[in-house]
Amino acid sequence: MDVLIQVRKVSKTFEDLSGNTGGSVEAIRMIDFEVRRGEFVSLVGPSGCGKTTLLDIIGGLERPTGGEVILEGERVESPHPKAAMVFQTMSVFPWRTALTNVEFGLELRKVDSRTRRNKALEVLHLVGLQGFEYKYPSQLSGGMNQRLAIARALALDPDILLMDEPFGALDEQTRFLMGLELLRIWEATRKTILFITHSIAEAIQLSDRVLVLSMRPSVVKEEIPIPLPRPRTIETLTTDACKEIEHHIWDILKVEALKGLAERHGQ
Amino acid sequence: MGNRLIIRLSRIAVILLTLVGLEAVVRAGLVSKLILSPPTRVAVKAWDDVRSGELLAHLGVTAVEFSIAFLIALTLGIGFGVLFFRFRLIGGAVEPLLLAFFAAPSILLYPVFLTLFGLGSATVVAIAVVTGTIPIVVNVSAGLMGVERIFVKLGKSLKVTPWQLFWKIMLPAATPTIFSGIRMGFTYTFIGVIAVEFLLFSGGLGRMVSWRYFIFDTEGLYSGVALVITIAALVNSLVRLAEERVRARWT
Repeated sequence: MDVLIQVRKVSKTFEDLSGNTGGSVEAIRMIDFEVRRGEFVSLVGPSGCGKTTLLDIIGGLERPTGGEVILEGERVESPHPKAAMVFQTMSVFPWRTALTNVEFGLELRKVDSRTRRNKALEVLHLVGLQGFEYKYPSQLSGGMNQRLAIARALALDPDILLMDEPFGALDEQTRFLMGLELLRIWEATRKTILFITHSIAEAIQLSDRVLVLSMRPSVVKEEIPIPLPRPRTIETLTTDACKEIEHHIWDILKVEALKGLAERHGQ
Repeated sequence: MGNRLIIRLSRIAVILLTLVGLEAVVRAGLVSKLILSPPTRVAVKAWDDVRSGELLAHLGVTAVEFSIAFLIALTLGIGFGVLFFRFRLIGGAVEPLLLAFFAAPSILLYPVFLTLFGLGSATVVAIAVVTGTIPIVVNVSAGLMGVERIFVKLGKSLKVTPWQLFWKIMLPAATPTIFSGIRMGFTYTFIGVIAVEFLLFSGGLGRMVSWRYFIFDTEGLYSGVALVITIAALVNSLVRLAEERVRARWT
């Protein structure tokens, strides 16, 4: 299997212009990992550990201060056309219908309207939004809007999906169901997915591997394979093996989360 | 639904009661007929104004002045709003002044405009432009600055050009706020036109009212006021309806 995402010794230090923290903040330190084609990898870490910064660097939205990111063999200087991002907050446009939201990226790429429409209808069907093509986001539920955001990313025919806590704003049950939906879509399309979450349960539910990040400056604390059988169901996710992994990740994260908490209170 | 009906009915009741009260007070001789006219006689006079074509003649002048002023205000407002957003430094320097200016009655600049533009319609239009432009400028730049960062981030991840970012993301995202500014600009332009007409001799609804005031035609004065209020309310509710439709989609 070939490697699609290579993160090589990526570091990021922000110059703090307000000067509150004494000059600069080191967000990420020498992060190093790879994701193979078709893999589902999650990044888990405490709040404020720089997960989003890392994903933005991989997505070409931010430049690292050290190291490099290579997607499909090309060094990332700007957003890679074969990598699509999905964000946590409501990023679908309220002034566009579901259909035209999905068409947006293709519109920017100057794809002709007929091809665009057909592609959009196809992906809306794939994410289970058939029948809602002409609805506006305000007429859809939170879960449906995130499906829409995923459909918009899929419309671009990416090889890689970079997802920044896409279900973070949803309630727990919807979140779990959306996870199953994402797995179904992933199995149908075989995209390579890099997924950020702070939910350990979600990371285990979805991933082949979980990378646990530390508190700032963020490093990869441990890489944990999730050998649970697929398709994942309530049964596979409540076994002792699963519980054990969850416990193990918690143990690492607990230390980091406490550090983060102490830091915030110390300020 | 029942509740809304009750609110509507009570609104009508308030208006009717006020009119009946006025009628009673004036008819009973509690207030001089030089100061107040009974609503029934004002209504008869208003109907007369409509039929005789006098209203239409003045309305025509007002409509032309308003249209010109509003179009200029819209163009300037959107242009400067975008400019202030694009160049924050200028915006930051000018906006507080604009807001202060907005709070002060710009009618105070009447003497200056009078010497610049004379006694005619040009002065009416100029002052109305000033009053109408400010809320549009302020809302256009505020709307653009308030666009959700996530929309911009999404755009960047799709490699939007600056042109696409503006037309396909910033402008549509800011539309509700911009629309509020346009509605306010609309109202302030109208107020500006009527107010300056009142002071000048170029004709129009404001002049119709002020002339009747000068010749002690109290009934005519109130008829004019009632007609202006009715027209303003009608037009404003139309604009409001348009704004609500925009907002309903965006939120």
